[in-house]
Amino acid sequence: MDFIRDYWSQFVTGLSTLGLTIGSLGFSWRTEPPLPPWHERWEVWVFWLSALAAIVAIIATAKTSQRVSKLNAETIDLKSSLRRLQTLEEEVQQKYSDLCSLHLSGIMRRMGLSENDRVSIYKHNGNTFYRIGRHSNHPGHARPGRSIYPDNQGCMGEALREGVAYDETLPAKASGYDLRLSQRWEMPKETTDSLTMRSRSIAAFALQRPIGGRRFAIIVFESMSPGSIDEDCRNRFTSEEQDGIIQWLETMERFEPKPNEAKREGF
Amino acid sequence: MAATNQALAYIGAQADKTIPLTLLRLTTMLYLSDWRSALQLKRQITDIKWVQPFVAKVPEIAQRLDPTDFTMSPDGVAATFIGDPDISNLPAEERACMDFVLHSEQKGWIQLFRIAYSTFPMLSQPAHTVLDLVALAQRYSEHHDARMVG
Repeated sequence: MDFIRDYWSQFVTGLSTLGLTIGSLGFSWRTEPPLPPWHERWEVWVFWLSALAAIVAIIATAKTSQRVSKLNAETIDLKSSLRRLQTLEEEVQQKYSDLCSLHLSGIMRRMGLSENDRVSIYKHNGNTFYRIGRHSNHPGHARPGRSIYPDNQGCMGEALREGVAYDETLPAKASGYDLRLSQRWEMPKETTDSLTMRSRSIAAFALQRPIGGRRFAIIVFESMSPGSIDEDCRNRFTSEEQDGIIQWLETMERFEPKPNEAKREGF
Repeated sequence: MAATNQALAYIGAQADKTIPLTLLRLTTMLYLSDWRSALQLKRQITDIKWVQPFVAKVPEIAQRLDPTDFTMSPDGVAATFIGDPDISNLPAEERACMDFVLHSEQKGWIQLFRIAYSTFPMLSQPAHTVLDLVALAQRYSEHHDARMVG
């Protein structure tokens, strides 16, 4: 059926050409008078019906060509739009880290933290956390550090289980600091030694999916000023702020780094 | 230098022709080939000194395209491969790394691009750092391999 629909005009053109030829030959064969009336001459019928069929086929072919041209133009437009969309996706992917940092800097400012403090976002993938964004104006504190974190250590693990975890004033001395992190959050010394920021005040909040309520990410605020992330500060991380960052994370989820996927794909 | 040119030519010749071979795409596949090689073979294929992020090398890649192998689009964004890839000096195991990347792209270019940004060197190193892919691959294999879930 598709074949007939797509090629009928060409078929009719072929038949009408044959008919015009046969009709013309018929005219040339019968020239001796007396000639019968035109309506009794088969060659007249063949010729003129073929001519009519040819005209119909030519009009149909012209209309098809017009439709094909229009479809070609639409295809070119679609390809161009697809290319623009792809370029936009590439740009957002490249800028994801900066965009995330920008969003986090706004939250940090509204929390009243200083520029050298730090805020980070981690996603949970089953038994580890991985960092998807970080902001600090202090270059040392903004360094990436470890890329994955066990979920049975650190304040993130507690925040994942309890919803929130904090320590307003961590000890200044190294030995006391290491002991507190070990006793409170089971962090081994080699991990504590490798921290890019030995924060003196820390708070971690679990973020929940709006549908289902599953805890899927942790936001961690850290400060070098002891006592700075106190109850007043923590209360500034309101439900509206939480909803805002959750919405941002869900909207931008397709662009966030996925180290599990890289590993699974052999990279 | 020769290995880099040959690697570029190989990718140019083998890459999916249904989408434009932009410099970004070429750079991404070359970076992933080098990262894959660092993981598997403990060496890079090319002599490129990758940085974080790897896309910073797009201008250098553009400069290193051999005009006998590639022509550039008028806007300088995409390349077309025109030569015969001379891969006689590329070891089979390095070609295998590039074939792996080329095969991975069949799942979608944007997905591959995201994977490139999700690799260990991109996530663990500060911006503008020069990347020692071989050392990073060793660190990754020692400390992270067993702890990442599938």
